[in-house]
Amino acid sequence: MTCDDVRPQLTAYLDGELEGDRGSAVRGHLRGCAACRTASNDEAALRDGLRALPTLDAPSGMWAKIQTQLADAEIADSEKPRWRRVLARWSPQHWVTPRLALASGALAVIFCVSAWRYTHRDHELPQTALVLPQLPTLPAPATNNGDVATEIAALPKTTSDSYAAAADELVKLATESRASWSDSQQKQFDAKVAELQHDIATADEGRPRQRAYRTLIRYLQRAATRDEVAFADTRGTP
Amino acid sequence: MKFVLLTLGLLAAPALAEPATKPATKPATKPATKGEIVERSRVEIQPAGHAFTNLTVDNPLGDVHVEGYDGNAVMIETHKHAPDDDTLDRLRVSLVPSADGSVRISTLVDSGKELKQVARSAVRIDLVIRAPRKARIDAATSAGKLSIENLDAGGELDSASGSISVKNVSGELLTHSVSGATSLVQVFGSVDAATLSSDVDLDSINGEKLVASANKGRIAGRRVMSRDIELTTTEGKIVLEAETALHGHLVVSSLHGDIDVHLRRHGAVNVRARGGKVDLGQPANLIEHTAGWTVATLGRSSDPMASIELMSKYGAVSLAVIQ
Repeated sequence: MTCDDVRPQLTAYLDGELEGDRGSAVRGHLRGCAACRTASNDEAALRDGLRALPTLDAPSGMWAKIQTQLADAEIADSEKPRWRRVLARWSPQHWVTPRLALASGALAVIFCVSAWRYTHRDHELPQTALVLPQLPTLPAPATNNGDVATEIAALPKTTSDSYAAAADELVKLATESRASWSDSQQKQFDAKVAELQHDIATADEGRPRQRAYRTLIRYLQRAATRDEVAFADTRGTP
Repeated sequence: MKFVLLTLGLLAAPALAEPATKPATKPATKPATKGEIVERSRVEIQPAGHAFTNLTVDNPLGDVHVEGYDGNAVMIETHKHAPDDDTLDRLRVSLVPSADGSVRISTLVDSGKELKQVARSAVRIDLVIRAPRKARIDAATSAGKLSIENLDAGGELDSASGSISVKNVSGELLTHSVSGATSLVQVFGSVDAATLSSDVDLDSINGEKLVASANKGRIAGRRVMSRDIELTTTEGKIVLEAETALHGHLVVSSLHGDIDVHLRRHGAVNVRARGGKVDLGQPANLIEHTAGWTVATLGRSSDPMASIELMSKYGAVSLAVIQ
């Protein structure tokens, strides 16, 4: 079996479509031929890379919008005189529909892949591994997270995260002021921050935790802006 | 679709046995803008036995406006916005009135895998509520505006990114927002207002205590007459026009923000300030410098004395006293 015999069968071989002797013959050739082995590895890597791409779902609401637009277009079309509708079918603008655009894109991809295969069919492949094109960074696969109910359920956590980020910044700022305090003030500050952080950790998610964060934030603001480490709850609960 | 979607908390049967709830109007559904349906409905809850003393509103889906009036009933007007009828059906308003005088109003969205997904920005529920003036209001929104006016029992207002607006309210008032601007006008009572990254505007505040803080926002106060005042920012400027109370305390502090205080003085005032630059607007013979502080006593020291502390670690501090 020669390289010319094996190369056209590589895709089928990698897809597990070669059975019995045919598969065994290709496998045997790959064991002995470095060039074909490299070609096989490259093709396998490309296939695996494409498979690794996440499945993309259209954003929620897109199909509804498309349907609405199609409906609007149909209504507008129905209101046109008959001669204009007939004429429109033959106008270039009419050809460029979304489906046609999709089909054109698919054909272009098929053409490029075919051309690549054709140009590499009769030539010795370089011994270096194929450098895969940088795969585009794609958004995470769409899930039910896009629904309003899911978003509403996540709101308490989101708000708590905002408070947590502000508290982290203020801890740093207050710590800068801390250097100028006496030892007893530093101890008092450390103990109070630890206590308030414990309150946050043990509070339920949502309003209780946000309230605990606000208490910490106000304490840190007082400490950072006026070196006031004695806890003075001016109101009761912030 | 053409029926009221208000879900009454009938499970609280004993509590609900007394208050009478009636839809005041049939819900009207109409297309508002292209691709959007709006349903408007009203419901009225009459108290039985006890007057309504507490109103709790939780609306993560839109605006909340509560207006006090001299009547006894709670009247709720809902405006639901959705892209289609199916989605409109998912939007709920829950009312749970209790015989103890409290009413809880909350909004929610039905969930389920079989339901068509819809983005949060495509739906909203706005609530316009008329409540007895003496009812305390506890209300929360997410991105929606939260406003109350003409109420006498104060309350607690909470928003994430929506603005908070209060006008003509008495009683203890607590407001907190992550990034929504807070505006308090004509508040007669103790106030605690906190924001993380938005501004706080105060106008005509008169109560025992005023505590306001903003992390990355400014605080602006006009006609502030509270007895004890504490304003704090981390980065924002603080501008205050206030009157001192006899024996009152005013503490204004910031880490990076400038502080600019205009003070109408009654009686004597003891001022101490520190900052990147300090200007107390007083003749040099009245000013002392001790331990990093610039100190001045205005008025006769035998008079009742109010104390003022102005501090900005990295900003400028200025004080102007108006007799």
